[in-house]
Amino acid sequence: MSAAPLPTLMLVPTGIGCEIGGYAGDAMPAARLLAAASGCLITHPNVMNGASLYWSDTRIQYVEGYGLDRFAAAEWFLRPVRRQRIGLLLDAGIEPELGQRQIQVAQGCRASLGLDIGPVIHTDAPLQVTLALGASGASTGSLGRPDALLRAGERLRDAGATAIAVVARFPDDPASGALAAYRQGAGVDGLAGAEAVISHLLVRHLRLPCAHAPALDPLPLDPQLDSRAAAEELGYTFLACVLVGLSRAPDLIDHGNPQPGDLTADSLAAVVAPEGALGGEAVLACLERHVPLIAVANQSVLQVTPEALELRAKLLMAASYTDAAGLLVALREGINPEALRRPLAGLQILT
Amino acid sequence: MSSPSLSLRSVQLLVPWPEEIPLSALRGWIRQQLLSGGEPLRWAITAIEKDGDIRQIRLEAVLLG
Repeated sequence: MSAAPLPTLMLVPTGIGCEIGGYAGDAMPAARLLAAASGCLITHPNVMNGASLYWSDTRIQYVEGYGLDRFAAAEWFLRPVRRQRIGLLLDAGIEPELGQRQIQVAQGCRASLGLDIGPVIHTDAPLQVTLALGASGASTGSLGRPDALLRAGERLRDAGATAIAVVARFPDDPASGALAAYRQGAGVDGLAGAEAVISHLLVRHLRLPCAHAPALDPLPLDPQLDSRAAAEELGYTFLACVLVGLSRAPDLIDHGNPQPGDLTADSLAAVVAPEGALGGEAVLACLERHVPLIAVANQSVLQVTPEALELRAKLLMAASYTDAAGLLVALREGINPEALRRPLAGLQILT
Repeated sequence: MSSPSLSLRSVQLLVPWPEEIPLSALRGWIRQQLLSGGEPLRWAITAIEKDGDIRQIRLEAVLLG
């Protein structure tokens, strides 16, 4: 494509059961497509994290959700890098064998992928993760010891880490109906909300790229496992995708002036989000700044639609991510998307 | 250095959307509503309901205290 890249924000909120993206990195094909269409896609770990499965694309900027919100609000900007040095933060509540599995993933990523990883630290107290659901059915959660998380993060930063991969021990509940539903491709990822809280805390406190992988006991084989959940049941950890994503995550800059090559909110040319999930901070910030919104049909537990918001600003509806990609190509090539639809509205004549 | 007193609180609110607040100012207005309970760490509008002519916003948030 000859036209310059079209910086595009792709959002698939975590923990709301999106049909595409509510499982184990199952929005990655859509992200790959939108990256090809836009030439520059900014998206968050929920989109790109498939546990043992991942995809690295130099056109995709991996930005944690809190950082994404600040970026969209023009409070921070993004500085692409060639490489991050990833500190590994392990919850003291992880059993020794499961902890060793995490370290082996890090070792494998160093040896086989050439990632820059280290040092490793354990928190000085178990983080005590708890899970919950909001009234909407969206996943949320909390930590008993956020201070321990942040102290460990500070030590990694002080030891030279420029990004942080955090692994927290999550409660096992293999008999839960919610987990069974998730494995069958229904319901909400019950871990997602707590995961977001963990990474948001670190990004807010340290201004470093961060992402989270849960530590859980392996599940028994399920012959009926939904394909979208399969990536999370291939190995002992959820960590590999996080390390790959963080390895080239952009720096988060909250001061000074942007340099050539930095991505700023002013440079955003489009935001792509599920049609019923338009109530997040990043989408609202984009609407403030009149960034063209592409609302994609992607069902979830939420119904915060353009109609509900009485959204009258420039809005493009997409029946699929394929449709969204076509709209991005049109925008990138300077084609009026209205010219691609029928009926074609008449010319406005001023009197 | 991180303080042991740092705490997290999940809240769910139903707030009327004032007519004089346009969509373009909604994000800032919502943040102000949440700040009374703590610094918003993560939040979203999870539903918009109509009560007669008044729109009500359902918010789910995690606040820092």
